[in-house]
Amino acid sequence: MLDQFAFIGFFLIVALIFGVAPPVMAWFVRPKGKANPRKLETYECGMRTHGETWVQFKAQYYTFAIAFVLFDVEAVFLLPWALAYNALELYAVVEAIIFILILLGGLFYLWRKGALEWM
Amino acid sequence: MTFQHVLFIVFGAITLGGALMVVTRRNVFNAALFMILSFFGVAGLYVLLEAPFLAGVQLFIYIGGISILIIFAIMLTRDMMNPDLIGRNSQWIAAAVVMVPLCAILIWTVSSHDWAAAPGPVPENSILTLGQALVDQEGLALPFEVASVLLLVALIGAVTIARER
Amino acid sequence: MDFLSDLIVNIGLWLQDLLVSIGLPDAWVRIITLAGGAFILALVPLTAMFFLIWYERKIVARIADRLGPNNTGAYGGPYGLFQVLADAVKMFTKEDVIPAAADRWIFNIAPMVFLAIAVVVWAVIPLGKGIVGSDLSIGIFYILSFGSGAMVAILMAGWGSNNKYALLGALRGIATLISYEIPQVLSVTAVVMVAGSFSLVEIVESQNVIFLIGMPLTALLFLLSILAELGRRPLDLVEADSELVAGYFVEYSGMKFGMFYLGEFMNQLMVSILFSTLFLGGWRGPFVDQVPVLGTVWLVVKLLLVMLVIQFFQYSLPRLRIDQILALNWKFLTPLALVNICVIALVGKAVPYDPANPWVQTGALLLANVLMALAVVGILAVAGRQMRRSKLAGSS
Repeated sequence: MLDQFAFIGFFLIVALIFGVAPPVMAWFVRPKGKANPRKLETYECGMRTHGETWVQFKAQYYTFAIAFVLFDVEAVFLLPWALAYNALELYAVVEAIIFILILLGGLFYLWRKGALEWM
Repeated sequence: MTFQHVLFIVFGAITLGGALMVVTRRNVFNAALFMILSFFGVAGLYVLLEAPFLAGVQLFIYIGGISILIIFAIMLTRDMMNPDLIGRNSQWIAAAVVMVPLCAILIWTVSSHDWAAAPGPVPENSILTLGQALVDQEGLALPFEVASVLLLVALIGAVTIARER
Repeated sequence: MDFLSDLIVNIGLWLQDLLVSIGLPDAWVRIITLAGGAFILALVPLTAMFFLIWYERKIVARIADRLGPNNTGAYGGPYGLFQVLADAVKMFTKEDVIPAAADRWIFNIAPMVFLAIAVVVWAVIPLGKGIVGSDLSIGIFYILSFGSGAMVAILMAGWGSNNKYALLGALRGIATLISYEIPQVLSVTAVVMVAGSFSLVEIVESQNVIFLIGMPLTALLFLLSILAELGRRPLDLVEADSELVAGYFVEYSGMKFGMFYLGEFMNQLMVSILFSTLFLGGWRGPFVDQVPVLGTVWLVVKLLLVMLVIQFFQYSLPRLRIDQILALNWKFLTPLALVNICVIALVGKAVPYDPANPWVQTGALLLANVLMALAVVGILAVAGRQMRRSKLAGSS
């Protein structure tokens, strides 16, 4: 099985080369302009920026990220089950359906509690 | 020194090097990026152990989910970009007194134990076996359902904590 | 004639025989074959880009009732095909302005990571009968894992620019991307259930009846979630052209911007091929058994069709707000995807797959999908009526 991954290894290296090549090629070709301070300013539609750059962050980002991680883990549990589906009996299918229903209940709980609103 | 040994050393170096950079960087965002590199090294180690599904899970959940979660949590912290925060504190002597013997005990235990090799070659269809075992009544069916309850508890907990105004 | 009928595979075998006949030891032959194969396979999306960007611009133009690139002037080329080449050359020669406040390492690495991930997922896709980079046992899962790694590149771009708008765009983009991962993975789970394997080669080979007919609801879920993954209208708040001024890559210029653009386009190509492989049968089509090269031709036809559909979505629908996007995902797509898996699991066990007569299971699945779709429409109608009634009661 490892020789399947030998190709992947080569492919990763080739992909990295393709990732690094364009800026290197462009470095030879592009004009090396003088840096005047106007060019190097941060872009804010022509106005000067003031204040720190990071934004005071809504807590909703974090709630969505947690919900995503939990449903992600659920999906990862379901993937091997889906692979073995053809060889399983009906009770195994029902077990997985219970798994899904418990998490569906969790999703509805989130919905009712208003954690899915983006205020 | 087969090719697998070389690859193991490479991936191990990536993992440990990334982890070392995580704890020594001042800039928290850079530390998070090195953590992602470290996770990548762990995925490579899983591939060497002939568990490609776990490597995929590592990429999918750790890099695609938990790293994002940690970076979001970093951004929720208010004073994170302040470089004046002290990198070390005054209690490092007490910490060293505890950690050095612990480290020595761990190294001695690991190096003096006889780590047995795996009992045989990896089964051909390991993901299929995993899938069948997850719902097998004499297998992991109960932990499977308990895992879903655990995830439910985590969901409810997240909502409760986040809604505390 | 026999050689031509399986052209690409035969060229590969001929090259391999050539290497062996030179007298190289076996391990070297394998290494050269693998490395050469990887290089050529990585070139495939890059060269396909040139034609496909032109294709998209022609379609967009026709939707907007204009002509698009055509043979104007010396640089146009026949039908305007060289327009894309001119754009590429332009991007190479632009000056690379790095803002003074940016974090140089992260700023520079982000586009490279983005492009590398867009290329890396091509290793497992069957491009024809017997043409595949590597028939991994975790085929589709490999693609999903690296797809979710692309978020890291976007985060690096948004953070490294040290610009409020870039950071805001990157954060909203990541919130959208992670939300739409879930229905994508869940619809792929449904496909894996019916096909019985992760490997894309086996998924294609198990489609005696294409999955679009059997599981149209799953295909629709997948299509909607990849629209969001691509950052295409109507779900493109990530790079809202007229609001956030190109979102997370506003500070990039020259070739680095070109790499983001190219990477986004390669993602579009990738998801079109993925949809064709998962739901439209990949390289399957009439006469493929006799002339295997036709497999690649059929795949290209399906790919162009899917890109056409995606571009129809993109250029005829208005943009949704971020809360509408997230509500669409968490309140509609995710529950529907979960219920979809349950229903398909039950129907699949009730009507088992019979290789002699695949239409039986397909028909049952289709019926189940149609019933689910009707149920969804019914629920939406009732909920809409309730909302309208409460709004009327509230305002009167």
